[in-house]
Amino acid sequence: MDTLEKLEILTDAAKYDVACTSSGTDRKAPKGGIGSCAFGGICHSFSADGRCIALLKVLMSNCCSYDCAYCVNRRSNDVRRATFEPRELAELTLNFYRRNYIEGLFLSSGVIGTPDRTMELMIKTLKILREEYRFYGYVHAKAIPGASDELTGRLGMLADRMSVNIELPSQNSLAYLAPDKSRHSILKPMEYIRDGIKSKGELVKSGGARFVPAGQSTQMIVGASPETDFGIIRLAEGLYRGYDLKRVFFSAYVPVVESSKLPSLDTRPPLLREHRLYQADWLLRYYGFTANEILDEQNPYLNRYMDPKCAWAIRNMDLFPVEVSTAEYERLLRVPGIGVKSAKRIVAIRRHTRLSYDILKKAGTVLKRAVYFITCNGQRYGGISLGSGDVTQSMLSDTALKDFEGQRYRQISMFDDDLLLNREERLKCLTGEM
Amino acid sequence: MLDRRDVTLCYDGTPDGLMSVIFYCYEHGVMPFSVITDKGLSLMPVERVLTDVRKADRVINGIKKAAGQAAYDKIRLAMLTGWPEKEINVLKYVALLLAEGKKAMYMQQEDCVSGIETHVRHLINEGHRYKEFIRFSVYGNLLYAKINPKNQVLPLIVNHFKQRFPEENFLIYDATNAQAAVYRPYSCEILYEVNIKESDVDETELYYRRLWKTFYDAIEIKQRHNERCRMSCMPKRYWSNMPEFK
Repeated sequence: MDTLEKLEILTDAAKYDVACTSSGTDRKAPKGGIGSCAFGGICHSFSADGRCIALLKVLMSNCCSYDCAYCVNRRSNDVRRATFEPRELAELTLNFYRRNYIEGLFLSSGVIGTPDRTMELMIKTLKILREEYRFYGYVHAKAIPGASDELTGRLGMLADRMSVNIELPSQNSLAYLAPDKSRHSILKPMEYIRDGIKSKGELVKSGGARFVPAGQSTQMIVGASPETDFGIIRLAEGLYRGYDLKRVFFSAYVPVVESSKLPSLDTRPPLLREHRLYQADWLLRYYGFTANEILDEQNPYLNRYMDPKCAWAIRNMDLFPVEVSTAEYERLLRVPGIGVKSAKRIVAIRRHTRLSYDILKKAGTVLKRAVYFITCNGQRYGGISLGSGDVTQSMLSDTALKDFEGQRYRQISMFDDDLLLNREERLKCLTGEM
Repeated sequence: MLDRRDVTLCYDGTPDGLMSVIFYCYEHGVMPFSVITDKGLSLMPVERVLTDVRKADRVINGIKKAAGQAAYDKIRLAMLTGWPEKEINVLKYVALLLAEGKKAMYMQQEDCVSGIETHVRHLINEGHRYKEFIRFSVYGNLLYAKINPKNQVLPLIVNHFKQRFPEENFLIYDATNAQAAVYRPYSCEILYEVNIKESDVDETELYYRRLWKTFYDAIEIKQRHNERCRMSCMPKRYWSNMPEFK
């Protein structure tokens, strides 16, 4: 089989992995080497589904001996199979890299025989890249659950980022849908990587290479099993705290195999739900929110119609208005319509200049939302009233509003998600940054 | 204070040239109607200002003294933008810096300040986009790329590629501004008034383009097709030089 055909098969088999980030490492090539990494990451293309392409994302092999119900590469599925030769893949990576197609390699794999054998092939590939070709670009490698600590350790010395997929947001779902994997086999390598990053001294080679310098991430499938948004966000929060993860990715379940255990094949991927989860995830990571502020047992699902920060603000109107000319950065961040960038700009500008609504607008504040929650030099923005109906309406996009009002007299059609997505979410997606 | 006058000043398009224009304005106490390059047109009477490096240096030192290095850096960036009114706005900006000092940089209510902020932001964004979307073709031992930017982005991106490919020879051709960045280990220069005609690439290059297109098409999850999202992240004007769209 030639490289072209292998590439097609092993890309197709790898595409359901969401993460394509190339962030977290900053370095340039020394003389004689090739490749550099930018701390914020760089995307190189966007596929027709709007997802960023930063890395050559392929499997080492899709000849998998496991039989996970949700996975396209399950042993019992009838698909074309292929395996890269380590040198073949290293060469392909380097040639794509020189042409500026990619930031590096995202290497995952089906389980070829045993987890250890799989990891050995991956390590061989990365060794050729790093040591023979002197490649200093980005490498994201998957730890294969069940492989030995020693191999995980060696892979970690060659990769920038590692990840182990949680796959499903609860132990029950895991046991039900992925019988070959256990909670233990997933958390064990995660712990190993966490401890390795912490206790650098022991694992760092004398050559100066660091163990997983860009940290570890994970992903879970949303919509294949019955967990609530609250459960998922709490799990994400726990992973950030307990395992020092850099990112938790959510993947809207795309049905690829027929199974009585799973939603039927014509189920549409829950993109809006995935989008809201990412917004909540952003609140956890950059806005200082906790999972319990965003949702609780009584309200376990994120609001379809407005983003989680707006929903939180409307529930907590007593904390507003915030005076923008004096409020500290953390409070500015909690105002709907003010993001990380505009909050920073406001703080910078107000040191030199008296703020006005005009200046706030130029600093990137979305006044349409923010005016209900702020005063500027003691003044409310002219012409707004504060009935909670008005506030809610202004938080919604026009399409969402129509849908929201329409609900009173018509059934929700199956295309509603699309309507909502059109205005707001279609413009946003997973980017490779952060 | 500079007096408004119905005159257009003309310069050679170089940074030193524009600094000489500013020197001229202060020398004569004039705030012109507009400032154009040799290629520009004007309905007003045009006066030609000759570039004088010593005068330019005096202006540069004056700016740095009055408002600091950061203000001068911003002006250098503003001069790389493709904004048609950049010259007159830089002139107004400098006047404001000289009168108000450093804090003029934050006076967003002034059109020249917010205008420069906006256009410099566009320049920086475009520079970043080209770090992402530039595509090299391999000709023997040379990496070659062509771009069609709206701004003069070469000075913003060459360092990135220098650090990335220290052992390669590369050439980035900016067809819009007829400039080229040329790197061979380990030095780099930017050439002006360049016109490059590309020759055909070889079989190996075509093979890797085909591999890349195969990858690009296979990575899409069809059930998530989202044309608008792709376009807002990667505007169509970048597509023409990308092999995934050929």
